[in-house]
Parts: sequence; C-alpha cells; structure tokens
Amino acid sequence: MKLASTYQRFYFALLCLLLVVACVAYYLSIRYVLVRQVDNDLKIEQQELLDFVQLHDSLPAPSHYRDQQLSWRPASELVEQRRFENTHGWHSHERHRGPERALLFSIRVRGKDYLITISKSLEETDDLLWLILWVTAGSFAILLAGLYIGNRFILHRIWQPFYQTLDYLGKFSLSNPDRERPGVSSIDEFALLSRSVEDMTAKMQRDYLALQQFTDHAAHEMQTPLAVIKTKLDLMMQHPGIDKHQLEQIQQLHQSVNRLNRLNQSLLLLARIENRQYLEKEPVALRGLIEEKLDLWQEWIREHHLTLNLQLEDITVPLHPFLAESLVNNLLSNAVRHNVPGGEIHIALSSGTLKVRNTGHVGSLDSERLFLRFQKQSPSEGVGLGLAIVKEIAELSGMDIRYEYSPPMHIFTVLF
Amino acid sequence: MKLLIVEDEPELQESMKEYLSLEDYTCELAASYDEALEKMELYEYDCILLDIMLPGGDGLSLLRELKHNRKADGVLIISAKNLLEDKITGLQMGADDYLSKPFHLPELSARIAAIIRRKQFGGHHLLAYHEINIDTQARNVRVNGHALVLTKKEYALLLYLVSNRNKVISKSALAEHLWGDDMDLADNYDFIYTHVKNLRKKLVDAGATDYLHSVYGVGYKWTDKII
Repeated sequence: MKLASTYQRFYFALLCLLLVVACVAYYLSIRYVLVRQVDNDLKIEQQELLDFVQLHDSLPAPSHYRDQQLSWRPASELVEQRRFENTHGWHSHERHRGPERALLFSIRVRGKDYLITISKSLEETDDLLWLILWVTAGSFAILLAGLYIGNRFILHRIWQPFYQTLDYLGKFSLSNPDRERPGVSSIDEFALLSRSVEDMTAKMQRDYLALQQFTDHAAHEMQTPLAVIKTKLDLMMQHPGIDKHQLEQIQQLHQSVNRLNRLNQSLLLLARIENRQYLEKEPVALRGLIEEKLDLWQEWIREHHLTLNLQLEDITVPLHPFLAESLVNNLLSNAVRHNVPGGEIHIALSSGTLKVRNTGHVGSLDSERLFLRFQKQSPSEGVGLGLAIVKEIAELSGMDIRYEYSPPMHIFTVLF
Repeated sequence: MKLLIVEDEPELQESMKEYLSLEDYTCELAASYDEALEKMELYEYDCILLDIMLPGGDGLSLLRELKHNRKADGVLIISAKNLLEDKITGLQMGADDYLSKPFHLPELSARIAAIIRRKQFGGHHLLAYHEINIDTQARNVRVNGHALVLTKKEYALLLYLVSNRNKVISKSALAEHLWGDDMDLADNYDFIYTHVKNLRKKLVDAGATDYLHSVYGVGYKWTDKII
C-alpha cells in the first residue's frame, strides 16, 4: 500500500473517531445547558406557586398547558428536598407523550401535606438539540470529505518528486547510464533526497568508470611491455649468428611470455566480470559454440585417443557473447587437458543444463577449493584461473555450477 | 609499400619498424594522436597500424577521421585492451583487421600482407613463390600448375610461411597463428610438427623444392637460400 494511502487511512480513522467523540461531548454539554435553563424556569414556577399559597392559603387548580403542567396530590409526609425528574407525560388526555422535565416538591397547606409536580415539555429543547446536532454532524461530514479530497490531491502532488526519484533509482544502470534526473522538489527533505541520490549515483558512475579505466590502463600497461618482449624475441631469432642454445632459450622465453600473457588476460577478465562490465545479454546458441571450440582441440583429442560423446540440443541461453565463449572454452579446456590418454569426454546440452563429464586423475577433487583462484592440480598446467572464471561467469549470469565425482567421471554441471 | 605505425611505445615502434623494413615496407612512425592525424591527412598509406590507446586521443577517433575523409588506406587496429567491444566497434567502423597485444611480428606481417592483398586490385590476390602459386581469393594452391589439395590448417600454414619468407618463425608464433591465442595449449607444439610434416610432404610429392627448414628444432624458416 502506498504511503499516502496508509497515512490517509490512519488519519481519517482517527479523525472520524475524534469527530464522533466531539459530537457526543457537544450533544451532552448543550443538552446540559438547555436542561439547566428549563430547571430555572421550573424553579421560578415553584416560587410563583409558593407565593400563591402564601397569599391565598390554598393550592391553585391543576393546570395543563401545552408545555407546562401543574398537578398535586396529598402526601403522607412532608419531604424537604425538591427534586428534578425526567419523565414522559402521563396525563391520560394528553395526546402527545413527549419527554418532560418535572420538578417535585412538598408543601403544607392548612395542615395537609401535598406533593406538587410541575413539569415542562422538553420537546422544543430536544428539537433545538437535534437541529444543532445535525448541523454540526453535517459540517463535520463536509469537513471530512473536503479534507480527504484535499489531502489526496496535496499528498499526490507533494510525493510526486519522491516517486520520480524512486523511478530514477529503479531505472538506474551502471553500465548504461541515461541522462534522466531524479525528481525535483521545493520540499527540503525531497530536494535533499534527490540531491543525495544524484550525488550517490554520480559517485557510483565515477567509481565504475574509474575501475573500468583502471582495468583498461592495467591491461595497456602490462600488455605493452609484453608486446615489447615478444617482438624483441622475434627479432633476436632473425639474427644470423644465433646458435641452437640461444634459440632454445628464446623459445623458452616465448613460452614464459605467453604464460604471463594468459595470466594477465585471465586476471583482467576476472576484474572485468567483477566490475560488471559484461551485463548485456543476448541469446547465445551454445551448440554451435561448443562445436566450434571443440574443433580447436581436435588434434589434441586425436593425439590422446580421447573418445568424444556429444548430445547437444539446439538451445539458446541469454548470456554476454564473450562470457559464453569464455565459459565454454574453460569448461572444455578443463575436460580435455585434465584427461588421461584413452579417456572419455561426454558433453550433454539440454534446456537448462550443460553437463561436461570426463575421465581424469582418479579421486574426487576438493569441490570447496576447486573454484578458487590459482588452484592447480599439477604445477605445469595452465594458470589455475579457468574454473574461477567459470564460477564468476556463472554467478554474474545467475547460473549455478556444480562439481561431483562419480568414478571414473569428473562431472561439471552448469544450470541456467 | 608504405606503412604508418601509430604507436606510442618507442621500443615496440622500433621492433615493428625493424621487422617490417626487412620486408620492403617503408615505415613511417607516429607516436601521438596529433602526429598520426597530421600524417594521415597529408599522405596515403597502404596500411595503417593503429594503436587504440594513444597520448592525446583515442585511436578509434583517428579511424573515424580517416573514414570521414574517405581515405582508402588499410587499417589494422592494435589494441592492448583485448575487448570484444573494441574489436567489434573497430571493425564496424571500417578497420580491416584487429590484433591484440602482445603479438608475434610474423603474425603482424602476415596480417598486413593480407590487408594489402585485399585492398589492391589486379592480380594481387595471387601470391607466387617460384613454382608455388597461391590464389588467396579462391584459397587454392598450385605447384607447377597442378592443383594441390591442402587442409585448412595446412593452407594457413603455407600462406603464413610464404608471407614471412626468409624469417625464423618460432613454434609459438605458428601455434598462435593456427589456433589463436585464447587456446591454452600449454605450449604443446607436437601438433604443429604434424601439420608441418604433412604440408612439407604434400609439397615435395607435388614436385616442389623443399623450402621449409627446421631451425634447430625450435622454429621454422621458409627460404630458397641454403642455410
């Protein structure tokens, strides 16, 4: 539920409750005032009656006016205290039985005690009371409706920049920045929020670019000296006086440079993956990619008498093309290079899974350490980053990579 | 043939110039964006070797300038970044080829030769070495006029060796050419030997002179001179 709706709901529930309480209190206090007024009138009537009795030494005849009745009856004893009562008219001839306010008191006339009841109709008072009440309730209802509509409108307007900022954050992408800006507001808090969000995203963008530039520069700074070494070695080989020993040493240097280069490429690839430089995805036909990469290894496969078993379905997987290539390359290279002469490689590709099974050194590999960097099974093979790269690619692309050993097969499964 | 080498690293510039000069290329050098831009505007080259990261600007904008001025010079991008995006952008912008650092000089030379062959008209796709004729368009080889059937790798090997005639080519350069540098063969060069052996046998059987010489078992040299 939106913040504004939640707020509106609580606000209006509370407001309704308060207005009901206020209405009741208002009703009670006005009623109290009006009844006091009637009571005063009744007291004046009592005084008039007492004056009449004093003057005439007899009781006046009972009277029944529309809004005032006087009645008396003999009483067994004299009650000092006068009292007020809320009653309904009880007179038999009275057609209208409305609420009444009665004053009861005792009086002794010529040695006899009487209980006098003077009552006044409360009908007019009640009418007035209800009128006041309805007018008040009506005003409250109009007030509520006005507040509700007004609040909705104002809240909607006030929160607009906030939703714009939210929208901006939702659309924000590091690798693909657009020039849209967070919402602009004259409200301090929202303006501050927008500014903070803008500053933060700008900083993220700067950091991202700085990291990207860092890997680019690192690549440049490392690849250029490697290129110098490699080309100088090529030139040295052309020297007419060069002997076998020197040439062999040059060849060994070439190998070391190649290894350094591969290490550098792998580290840069890892840095770029971590840096989220390969987020764009497009459907990649994995079957073609696997067949293409296997083609590179065909001499090796033939030379080592490896049996290849392919069960490839035509499926596409959303991946960055370069990452797809790297993933397949590393998995295949792993299966081929760590195999044993006369061994087997089974590759199964179906929707959702790529399974590479291969024979290799006997015994399960440590699946905890397998995907860590620089974990090598033997010192001479590769640089030990292949599976770390596979793992990083899988994590970045939301895939799962698993290893299990089912003698004699080492099984790598990618779930996408 | 005139080349422009746009590269800011003096050592690398020098190596490239030295190796390419051995092959009758005239090399001019540019070490910065402005220098390169000036030379590109003033002269015409058969091929421009363009480094992407340059002091004073981006190699790709140089390429844009060049294409904007409708110059027909061949362009080989040389980049240290090894980014797929750069490669795709470069080729889309009209570069002829892309080579990532570090590279072997014979590879550079073979790529330049291929670009120049493609750029020129009138029989330049025919490469002759004595009795051996290579048609780089039809991708076929004739020895003394008779067609020779080669595998894809043998053909690539022959073209590479002929493009780098009279040079000592290391096995690692050959491996890189045949399989690419992303292929981690752990420097196992046995496979090269197999392809070299097969190519040599086919050529000799077809009546060609054996121009391919092993250099101390470390590299190969294609030459008609006695070594």
